[in-house]
Amino acid sequence: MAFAGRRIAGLPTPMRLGVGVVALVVEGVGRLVGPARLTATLARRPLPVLGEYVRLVRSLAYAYVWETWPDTAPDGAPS
Amino acid sequence: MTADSLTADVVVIGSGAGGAPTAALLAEAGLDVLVLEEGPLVRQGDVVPFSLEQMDRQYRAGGVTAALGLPSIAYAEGCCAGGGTEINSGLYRRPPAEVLERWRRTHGVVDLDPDDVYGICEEVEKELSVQPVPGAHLPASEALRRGAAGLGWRHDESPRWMDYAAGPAARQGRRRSMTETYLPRAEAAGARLLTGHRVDRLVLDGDRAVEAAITGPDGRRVNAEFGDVFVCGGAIQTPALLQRSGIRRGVGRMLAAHPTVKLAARFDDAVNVPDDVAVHQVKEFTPDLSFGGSASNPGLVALALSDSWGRFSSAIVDWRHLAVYYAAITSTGHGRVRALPGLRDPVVTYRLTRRDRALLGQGLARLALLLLEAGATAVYPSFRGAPVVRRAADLATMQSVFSTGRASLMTVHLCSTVPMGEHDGAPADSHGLLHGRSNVRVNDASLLPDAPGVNPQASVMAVAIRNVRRYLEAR
Repeated sequence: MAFAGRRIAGLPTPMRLGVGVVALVVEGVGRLVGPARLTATLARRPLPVLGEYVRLVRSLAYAYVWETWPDTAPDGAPS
Repeated sequence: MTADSLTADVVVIGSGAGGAPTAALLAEAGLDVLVLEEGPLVRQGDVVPFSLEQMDRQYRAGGVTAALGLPSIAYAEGCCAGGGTEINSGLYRRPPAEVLERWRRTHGVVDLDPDDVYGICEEVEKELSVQPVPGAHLPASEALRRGAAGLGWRHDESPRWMDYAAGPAARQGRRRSMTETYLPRAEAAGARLLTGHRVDRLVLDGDRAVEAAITGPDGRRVNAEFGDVFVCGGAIQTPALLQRSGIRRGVGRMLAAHPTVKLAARFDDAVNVPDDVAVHQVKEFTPDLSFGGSASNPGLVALALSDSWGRFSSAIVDWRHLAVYYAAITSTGHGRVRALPGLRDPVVTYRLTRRDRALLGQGLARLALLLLEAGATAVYPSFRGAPVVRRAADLATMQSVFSTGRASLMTVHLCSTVPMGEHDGAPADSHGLLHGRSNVRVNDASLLPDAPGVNPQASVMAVAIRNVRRYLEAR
């Protein structure tokens, strides 16, 4: 989490602003339709452009896990 | 807060493939040179190549930089002394003669005789110790060679700027980046290198720039007065700085790149080498397409698998048998760099053409075919919803579901945002002097009129050295 947070904090300004706006919108929509339904929808249809930055940070989190503990199994167990 | 003041005959902004030789030649000519580098100084050997620590310390924004678009394209931008030369794979390709001809004919660049350019390339090759691997190649590189040979596709080994004093094998090479070569030369000749100093804008007086407004370490304000300035911040930061300084004509409009798609390939033998890349490249489809190897430490293998993580995740436990490869295109699209008021970083956008999208899909399929020919037992293409490819018959399925909107596109080659030339609208003349300015020169990848279709560092360095010599002759 600290790793991902540091990455988000280090984003170029336009990206950080965009991710912040998306976060606000997603938070607002989540309150209307429910977070589970929203999450499922976004997983099926990632937001164009801005959704990719969430994916970028998620991908770096994967990279962090497998660079730090390369023999980790996909479910998080040591292999 | 008071500002510190500096003075120099020439200020060089940026210390990468353009800035470092610029500083060295100017200092060796007896000028008082001040090099302003935004990033830190990290020596070769202080970090593991292609690691997350390297991304943290030597990449802009920790590596999380992208050109917005549909789809967006992630790019790697060095932000450290030595710039991109400290983080790239070291592959070296001279600018092809047909590219130089195109720059002369289409973009009106004068004084670009191939013999002169290649003469400079020879100097660079000697300084950087450009050479093929004298000993054993990486297994991932051998796989490329084997697959291309099996299909009858043209391929070769790209030489690298490496010193093999420690031994002849590929992994024993030490990179001859700018912090190992031209920056020490510049400092030995009296140039001052200030790292952690970001130039916010150039202060203009008529057609001259007279001062650089700088933010130093810990936010300290610094001013540097100069007679001439060479802006060498790279294809993104150079146009952004010029725009922040009020220099906008033709600047930042024609960003060119070599977009790539990637895949991970699994072999029965252990092929993974975490801190080096393949040197073989496949050139059968040049200049439109080329294939090569990417950095493949376990984290980057996980990245390559992450687009279809639900389907591909189990492969990560075999990371020792996996290597990442890329298919790169010479794009006919272009992008823009825009510095916006109040934002520290520019907005970067890129638009692929329809031809680019089709070519990326074709490239991915051909690369997968090559790796199957090389003996890969499974290929994992890096796009959402991709199937595992185990045989040639699977490629049709892969291509039918591929779209660039689902893929993780990236590029490491950015150029052409302040293209040189003598035609109307060119922001810089054939030697990097900005039109309408008497003392502001650009001397980095921004100047290349378009994407050269090969690793661009040699082109950048040859053009930079040529331009500095022209400047010195005219003084």
